[in-house]
Amino acid sequence: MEMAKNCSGKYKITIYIICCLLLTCWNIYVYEAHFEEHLKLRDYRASEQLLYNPSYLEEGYAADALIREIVRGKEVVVPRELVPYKEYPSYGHMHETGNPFSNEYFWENNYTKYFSEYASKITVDTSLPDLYEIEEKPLSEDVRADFILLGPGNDMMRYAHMGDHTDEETSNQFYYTYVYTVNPYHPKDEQLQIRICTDGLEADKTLVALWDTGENLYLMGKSYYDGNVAGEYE
Amino acid sequence: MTEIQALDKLVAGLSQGYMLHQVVVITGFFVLGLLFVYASGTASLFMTAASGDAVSEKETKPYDRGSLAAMLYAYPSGLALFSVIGYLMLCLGIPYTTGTMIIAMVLVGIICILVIVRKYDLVDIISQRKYYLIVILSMLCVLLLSVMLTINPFHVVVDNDSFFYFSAYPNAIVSEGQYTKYFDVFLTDAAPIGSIVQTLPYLLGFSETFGIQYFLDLNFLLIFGYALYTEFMGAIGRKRALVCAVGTVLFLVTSSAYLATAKWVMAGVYFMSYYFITAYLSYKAGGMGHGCLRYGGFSEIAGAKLKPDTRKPYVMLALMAVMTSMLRQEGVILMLVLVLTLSVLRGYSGKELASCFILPMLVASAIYYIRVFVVLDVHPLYAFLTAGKAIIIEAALLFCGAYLLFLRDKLGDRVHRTLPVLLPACALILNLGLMIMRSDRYFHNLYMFYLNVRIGAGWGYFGYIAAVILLLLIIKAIIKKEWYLSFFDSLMLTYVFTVFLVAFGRGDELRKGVGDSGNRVMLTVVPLVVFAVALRFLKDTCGDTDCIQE
Repeated sequence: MEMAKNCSGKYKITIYIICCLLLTCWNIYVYEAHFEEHLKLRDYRASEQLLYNPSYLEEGYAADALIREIVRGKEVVVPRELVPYKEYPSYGHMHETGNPFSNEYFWENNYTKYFSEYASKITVDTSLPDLYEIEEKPLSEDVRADFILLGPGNDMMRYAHMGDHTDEETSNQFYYTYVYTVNPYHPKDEQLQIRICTDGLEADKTLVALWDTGENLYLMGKSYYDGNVAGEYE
Repeated sequence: MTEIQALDKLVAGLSQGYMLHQVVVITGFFVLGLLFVYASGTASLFMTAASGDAVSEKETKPYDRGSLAAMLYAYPSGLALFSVIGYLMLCLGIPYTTGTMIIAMVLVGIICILVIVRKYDLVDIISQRKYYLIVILSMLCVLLLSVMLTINPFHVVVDNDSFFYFSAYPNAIVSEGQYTKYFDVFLTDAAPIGSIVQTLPYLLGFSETFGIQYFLDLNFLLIFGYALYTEFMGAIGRKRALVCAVGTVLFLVTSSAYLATAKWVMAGVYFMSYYFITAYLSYKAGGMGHGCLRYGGFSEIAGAKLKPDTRKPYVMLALMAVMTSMLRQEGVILMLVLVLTLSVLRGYSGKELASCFILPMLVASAIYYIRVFVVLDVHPLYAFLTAGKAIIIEAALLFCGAYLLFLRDKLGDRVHRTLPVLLPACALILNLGLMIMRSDRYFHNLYMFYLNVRIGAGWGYFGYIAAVILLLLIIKAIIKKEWYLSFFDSLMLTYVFTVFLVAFGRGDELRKGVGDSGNRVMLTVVPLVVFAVALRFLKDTCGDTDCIQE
């Protein structure tokens, strides 16, 4: 074009291109040498088509992402009905001096709330050992050895309120600000640990979720439960 | 079998078929978006005759030169159609399920086809072999690229928000099929449309959106490069323009500051990409960007360069406005920055800007705020978006709408010419006001912005490079007495000053680290900075005379 011929800045254009290329090389060096260090976040190559990556196992990271994937499209059987917060002693008294709160509301209901949101169906089977029975008589060492510890589930429980269709979620925020975010990766007395047994977990259409009063979850296939756990609690 | 082997086996089993689903979704968005690009008249923005002059819409054909450029807007349009329609359904209480969304997408596709049939001479199109070749090649290209990107060849960056705000919450939206009161803090803190994009896996049968995100990244870079090429072309010739555009894109794509956002599984990458895409598209629709740079008196020239009978792609502009504004909770304010900068272009009437941008954003934001604060009556203990902030946002929209409808077209030429400087100046004055009123928090936030750039929290060394170039440009401006700002200079500066304001509006103090919300929003300005600086530099290659030839 005429105007292009009129423009006399071809040397400036050359300088511009050289600068771009030099800065690009510098950028590549900075990226390779410092990107992860500067970012301080998880930067990795996903090996599978899941948000959860098996490399997370070592640090116990993002257990929730795998649990949601496992229960997707499946029925989960739990030992207790969801009990609304208004049935608990501290309901209506939460903002009084001392901020009383019935912690058992979370221990008893959070996993049910959680699974009701992400599984296709929740079924209550009261013949399953509930959290108090598990507390009294923990799962045997042989059974526990079949479970993989995925890591802590603090944030899973922190956001369990989305599955709550009965109660005010302010009770969740009170609890999570105090317990779930305090020492999130160093829970006391082994609390909030997420475990799965992979035997039959993918093949079974029905899963069983058990937990104790420390909100330690044991998620397994129905076939595994029937064959290895049910007998211990008859 | 070791634990990791058992887990690997489980993960492989769970993800069967996921890749194919994601590839189909990407391709589907491209096809739907392409139909929309043609139906909305967006394609005609890119059509040029062999001479390089603009042509009227009636003279264009879908397979003309420029049709490839129109395809660049296909995928972003398709994704935007899905996201905005899903967003409207959720806000209006229409069941949000796989079935209803597929029906909605199919209906949109049918409407687009009907509009295209009316708009173009189908007999002529069908008889052209070249058309079939372009369509088949582009589809194969999209398919191949989507497969390559979905096998996850590149790294991704995740953090806690990626798993909860942009995975668990979208999962719950699909599970419920509606917004519920029990979503609580997610309704006020998570990006509304950002979350809807992340519902794709749960609606359509996969787990992550890495391929979708990377395809958008690639698409954005192509649009960015094409925009640079178009802007450089008239001034320095096609070949040099191509080399300069490629060089600039290489610089951008290797910058840590760009990659930090582009790779991170969050709403930021979508906001950054759509903001630039919307900005350039609306700038182009304003009659600008037909192959030459415009500075100084560009506002007068814009009107003269409009095609004789071409209407602007109003529906596309409205779609992009809603998409971009609701991709972040503060997106409306940052979109207002774009709209006010667009008001400088004489190619737009005040009524056009109000109806294409303000009205859709007003409606889209209002129905969300009403759903959250009135219908669901949500009161989280800790919230970014409060009812008070929602009212302020709506008031800002109404105020800007009133300015555009009643004042803007009455501004004298002299005032109009100073608007590119007035806009960032106003944003700066607002910052000064905040500084005086809340100096402790304001200075703390400013220091955090500075600290995060200095330590490279997501910025790498981009901050230093940008500071040096900015200093050189200021010195040059002082020496040559070139006191003007281009469209993109003005947009970039006003954007930066506005980010300081919206960061203040968070309520909490900013903190050190890449995860700080204010820092993440500021990172989204990087493409604008690179674009504005590249244009300013290339303008200088043409000397002081305006490159425009009538």
